[in-house]
Amino acid sequence: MARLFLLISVFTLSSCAIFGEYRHRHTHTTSLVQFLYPQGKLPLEDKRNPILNLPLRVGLAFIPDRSSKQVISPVLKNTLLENVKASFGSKGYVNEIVVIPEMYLQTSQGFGTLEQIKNLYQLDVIALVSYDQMVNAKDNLLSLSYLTIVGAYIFPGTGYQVNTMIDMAVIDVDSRSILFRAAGTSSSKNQIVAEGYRSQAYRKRQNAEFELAMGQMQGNLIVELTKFEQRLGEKDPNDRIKVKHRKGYTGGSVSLFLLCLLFCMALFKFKYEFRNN
Amino acid sequence: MNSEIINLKISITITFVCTIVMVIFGYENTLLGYNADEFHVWQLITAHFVHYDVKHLITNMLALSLLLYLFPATFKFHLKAMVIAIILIDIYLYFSNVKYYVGYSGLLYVVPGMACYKLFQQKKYNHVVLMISILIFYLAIISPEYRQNQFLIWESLEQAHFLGFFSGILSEFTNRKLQLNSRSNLAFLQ
Repeated sequence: MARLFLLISVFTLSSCAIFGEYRHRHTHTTSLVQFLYPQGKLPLEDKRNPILNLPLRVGLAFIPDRSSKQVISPVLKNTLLENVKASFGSKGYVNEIVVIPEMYLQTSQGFGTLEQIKNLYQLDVIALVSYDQMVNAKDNLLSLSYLTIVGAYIFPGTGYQVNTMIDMAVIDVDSRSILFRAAGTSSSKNQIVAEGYRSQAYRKRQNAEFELAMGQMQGNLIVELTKFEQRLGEKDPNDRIKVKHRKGYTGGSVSLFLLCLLFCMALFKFKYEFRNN
Repeated sequence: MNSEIINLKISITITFVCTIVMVIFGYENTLLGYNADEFHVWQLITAHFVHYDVKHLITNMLALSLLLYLFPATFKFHLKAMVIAIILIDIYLYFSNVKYYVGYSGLLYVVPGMACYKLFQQKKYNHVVLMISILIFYLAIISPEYRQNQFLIWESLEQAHFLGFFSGILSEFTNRKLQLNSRSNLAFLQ
């Protein structure tokens, strides 16, 4: 009887581990398209060209994770957004950057919500960060030790790999179009842990990978911002994005023309004085 | 002291002050520039020494050096003209709908303003006409065109430039009056 009890216990407590190699996949995704068009319907309005009033007021937010289990800690998300804010902050054409709390976007979706946020914070554009993270877990030979239960806490029999992709799209809410986007990816090689610590290790690695991808995205964002700046600076009449200066922002400056004129005059004076002396 | 050395000193002092302000407080310090939404009294003075970026600072300082070389001015009179320009530009900023203003160029124009009045006194009317024509041509045609072709978040405030020029004329005019008064007083005493 005791032997039978032991056998049943081993079978039930070791769950699937005894049925051979165990593979598992977790995916956490926040989709930009799904957030902007929750019903999948496209608006019937005519498309307008984006008009940017410089300097810009930018809103920065994560597309909320709607799954019951939130993998990335809100504190980390906030820290990462503050880092992105610093990348934007050095740009002269950006006046203010506001980090929008995730809960503001939690309950409703679509451009309607973005418009409400835009009016609430008096924003010009909103940068939305979406991500896709996949964890592939695979057991190795050592996972047989999980049969002993104690082995699940001692032997590293589970290997896992985390792939993360982060995408940031800067959206002009009025024209409902994307101005530019930047992405970052990260991938960790197989990390091996004991089954007993798997969930903790996953979470730690997921956060670390998220941070890495965000760092890469930030680097790409600086490149994209420079490209965007150049594009606006070219003032191509065929460019659909138009720039306007916000009224009342003034300064005292001299143009290159005046500088050249003054330089020529100074050169002329110098030559004249040199001849006379 | 040689007027050129004095002008060099004025130019270096102003460039030094503006650079120090930029290094310590950064480019877009909203507390130092004239900010109608967040107004502080010190902004009436500091706004003239703050710049949007390095390019903005360099062009203004280079223009100041060249102007002082072309139209030498004594330190005392230059300072007086600058004070008048600051007062006039600040009055304009306060009563206009300007939200934000930074830059030295308003004060830059006091140098040609002073020179213009001096030339007028020397009865070199051709020079005066040429100078005013260049100024009007630049501020009315070249400057707005330049603004259109540049990717700037702000627009050049031509009114500040005109006020700077006018301050230079006003300063030289009062200097001349004071000199004449002191001469007549001296003659009266003798």
